[in-house]
Amino acid sequence: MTKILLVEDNDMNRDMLSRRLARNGYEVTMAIDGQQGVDMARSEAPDLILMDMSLPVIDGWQATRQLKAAAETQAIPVIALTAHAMVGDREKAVEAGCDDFDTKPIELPRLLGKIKALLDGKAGA
Amino acid sequence: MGDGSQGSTAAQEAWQSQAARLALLSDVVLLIAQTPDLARLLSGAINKLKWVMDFERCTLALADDDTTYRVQILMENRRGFSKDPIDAVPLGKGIAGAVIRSRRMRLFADFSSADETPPVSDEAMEGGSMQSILSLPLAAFDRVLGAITFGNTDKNIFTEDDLKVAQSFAVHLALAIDRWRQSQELEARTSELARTVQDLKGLAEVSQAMNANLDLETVLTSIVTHAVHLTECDAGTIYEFDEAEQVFVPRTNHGISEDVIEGLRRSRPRVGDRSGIGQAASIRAPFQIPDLSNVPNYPMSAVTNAGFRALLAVPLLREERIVGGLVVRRKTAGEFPHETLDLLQTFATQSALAIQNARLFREIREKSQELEVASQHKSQFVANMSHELRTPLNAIIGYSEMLQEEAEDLGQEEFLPDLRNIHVAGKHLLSLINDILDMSKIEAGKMELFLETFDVPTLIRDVVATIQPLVDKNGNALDVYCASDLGTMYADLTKVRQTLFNLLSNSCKFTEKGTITLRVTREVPSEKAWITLAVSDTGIGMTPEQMGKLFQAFSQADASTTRQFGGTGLGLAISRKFCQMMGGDVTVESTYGEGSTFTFQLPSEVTEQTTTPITEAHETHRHPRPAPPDAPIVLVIDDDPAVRDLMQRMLGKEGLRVAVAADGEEGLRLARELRPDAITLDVLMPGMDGWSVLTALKADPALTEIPVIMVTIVDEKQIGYSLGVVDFLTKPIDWKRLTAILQTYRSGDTDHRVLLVEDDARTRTMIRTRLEKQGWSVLEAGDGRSALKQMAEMLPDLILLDLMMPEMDGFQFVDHVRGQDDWRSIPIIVVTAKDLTDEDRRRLNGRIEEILQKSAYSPEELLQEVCDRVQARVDSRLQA
Repeated sequence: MTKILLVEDNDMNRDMLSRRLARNGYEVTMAIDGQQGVDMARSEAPDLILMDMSLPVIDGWQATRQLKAAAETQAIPVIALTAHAMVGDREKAVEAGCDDFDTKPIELPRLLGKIKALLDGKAGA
Repeated sequence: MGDGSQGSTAAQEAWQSQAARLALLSDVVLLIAQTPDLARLLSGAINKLKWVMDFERCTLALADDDTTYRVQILMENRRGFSKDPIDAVPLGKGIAGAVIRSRRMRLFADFSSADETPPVSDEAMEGGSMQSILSLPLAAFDRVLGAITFGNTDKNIFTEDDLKVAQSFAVHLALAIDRWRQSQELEARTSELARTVQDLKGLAEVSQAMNANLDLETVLTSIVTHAVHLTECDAGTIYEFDEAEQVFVPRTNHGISEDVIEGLRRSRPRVGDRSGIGQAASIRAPFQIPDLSNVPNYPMSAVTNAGFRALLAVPLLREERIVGGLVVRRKTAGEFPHETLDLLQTFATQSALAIQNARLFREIREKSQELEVASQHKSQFVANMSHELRTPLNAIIGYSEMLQEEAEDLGQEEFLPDLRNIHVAGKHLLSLINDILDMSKIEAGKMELFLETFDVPTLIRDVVATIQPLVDKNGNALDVYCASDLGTMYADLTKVRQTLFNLLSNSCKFTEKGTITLRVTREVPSEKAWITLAVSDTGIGMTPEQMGKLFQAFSQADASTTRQFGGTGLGLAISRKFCQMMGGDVTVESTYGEGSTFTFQLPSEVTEQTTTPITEAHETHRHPRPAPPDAPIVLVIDDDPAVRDLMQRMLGKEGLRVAVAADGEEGLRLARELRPDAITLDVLMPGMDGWSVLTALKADPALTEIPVIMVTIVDEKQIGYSLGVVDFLTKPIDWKRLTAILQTYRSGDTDHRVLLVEDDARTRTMIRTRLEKQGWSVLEAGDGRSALKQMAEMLPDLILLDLMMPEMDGFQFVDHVRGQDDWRSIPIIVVTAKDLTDEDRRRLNGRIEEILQKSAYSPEELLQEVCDRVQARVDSRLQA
């Protein structure tokens, strides 16, 4: 089963998104801050990471940079989840090495589309 | 020795004595001529004189005026004596008085037995029991200055020779005294002048310090230092009145040590106590203590301990309130003359003003800092709050969505409508919050463009699918017409989508059981391709007034609209800003009760910071008779979008092409780029105001020929003002240009009169000379009022008008002229200073606001006038 690592500090958002992803057939594992996200990317080896950007301990941009810098995790696609069109967030996410991004509030069909596209691309590569 | 020898000896003696007298006299004359100091001159001259004349006593009488004189004793008992003049004596008394009045010498050989009618007496001479008295007038250049009187206790002392010597002496002495008096007077005048100059300099420095520097410390130091110096005191203090504590606190000091200042502080002087400042404050007038040693237990011991003997205190008053006090102190006792009081009063006024100004300045600075902080807080707050609100909202939307899915999966259909309601309400709330955030970002200038290439038909399909539920809600139908050549566009996808969605949802909202039509076309009017999206509906429509306010933030057609149809009223304002950011615009056409068409146009290739406001492509859609591509272009510079919109529509209907600019910089840029046939310019704009734009336009040789019509419309007040002038010239005057302008107003060979309204006489003369050479007859007026008077008598063919004048300024004048039917058509050319100062601007803008207040134009009338003028200018240019 395809495994997604969801890094999100907000309890409700994490709970909601994880359940909806699970309902769509994904195995979901969760981290609540940037550091834990990096650690779990190593230990869990997920197929894809959904990364909130404003996170405690280390933020999403920093966490992504670390993931993309490490050989064992750099191939894992990362989708950044940013708040509504905050100035420069999109550019910053791309700069940090995110493969795609989506804005909150999450529109599930749109997000599922992006996940599928990345996973298909990865499978194809 | 016989008689002969005796006679010869006598003759020889006489001769010798005569020679000695002459020698001495010449010495005296020399002395008189060379000694500038009168006291030394007198004592020296008298001492020499006594060798040739036998007198025991000598007095000098100097006339004060026509009624009194003063006597000074120069010699007593044959010894030099100099005593200050005694009290004034009436001219009717004493021998000297009689001599001064009669201007004639008097000789008494035996005074006690003299039989005079009326009898004379002389205190100075009688006091010494003088018997021989010789008194001579001192006259110089027909003026009697006084008298010199000689006395001896013996009778018959003064000989004929003595008289001659004394007369000669008196003549020279009179000249010397006259010269001395003149020099004294000159010196007095000089020092008075020097003092006045110093005073003025002091005051000027103080005022300068006040104007140049609002730092209170510097101003007060300057004031107190000058006050001490100019009043010839040793020390001074400016007190500030502490209203809370009700005491005077030494604020700035001169000439006293820190210890003394501390002593002043500790004595805490109050209004009405026995201190100088306390009493001055109590009577609200200057108060002096000429001798502190006469004041037992003076409450401010620091002052007396420091050795001060006299002080003068003046209260500082501001609008009847005590704000402080100014005190100067002297180490010597004595009254302060009233000049000093006056002077100090002036300083006190300046100080009070300075303190007041500094307080206001401080308050304003603090307030503005607070405001700035508050404004930053507000922006931050809005951003934070939107974020904070969105987080729980996301949960609400997400969970309700998820529950709907689960309810469906579990077959619990009965929950679906409620869950859907929660979901829709959450989405609605989210869109409102997003609007507020967008608007606050736009207002803070933080909205950015993210440009990408996307497929236009895909976007349309996407939006149409999203909007479908809203279309269905009011029972509407949506017709979509897409041109086949739409292709791709390079723009900010999110903002284009948001704008289209917004316009469609607006139409859905205001239309019931009607038809909404979306028409998307691609047009290539020039090199650039434009995408035009027009959303028409068959809804309630709008009145022109409602349309005017349409694009303003937080304004829907009326307040009840909000209640009835919901929304923040931000949607259109945001959409328009988005389009403008991408170099396009949103425009509207509507007929009340029949429906509206919103059209937005975007360049198919958006470039960052593009503003291509030429509305040529718009015109084809919005006007049944499109302006031909070679139609004259009018550039409208106005910061108010509603005004720009109105002007665009009005001028467009006249068959003109219209370009718009929202601020001065953009206006200037477009003017250079487009070289329009005419420009309408708003006077009151934030940032670069109309005057600066005008100055820049007129300073640019390439643009100077373009006629500018100054227009200010205050839209919400439904009144406006158009400055009815035909041209502007800046000073210094470009004669070639002036001649060229004037030439266009001359026709035929008849006599042409120009009325020159200018307050500066020199400028008037200069212009007059030039104009007369060119065959104009020139009428002159120094201000608006006298210009109106002249016009009542003789109508000029043209008016040349200075804007800045006393009495009635240029604006008022134009207002009057344009208010009279038979004067209205007289062309007015305004001549304005090249470098208007901020002060000038404030004045001019103030005038315009004032005129706006009382002007009775309706917007339609105003716009019609503007259109007429633009058309007239354009026509005359095209013919020329």
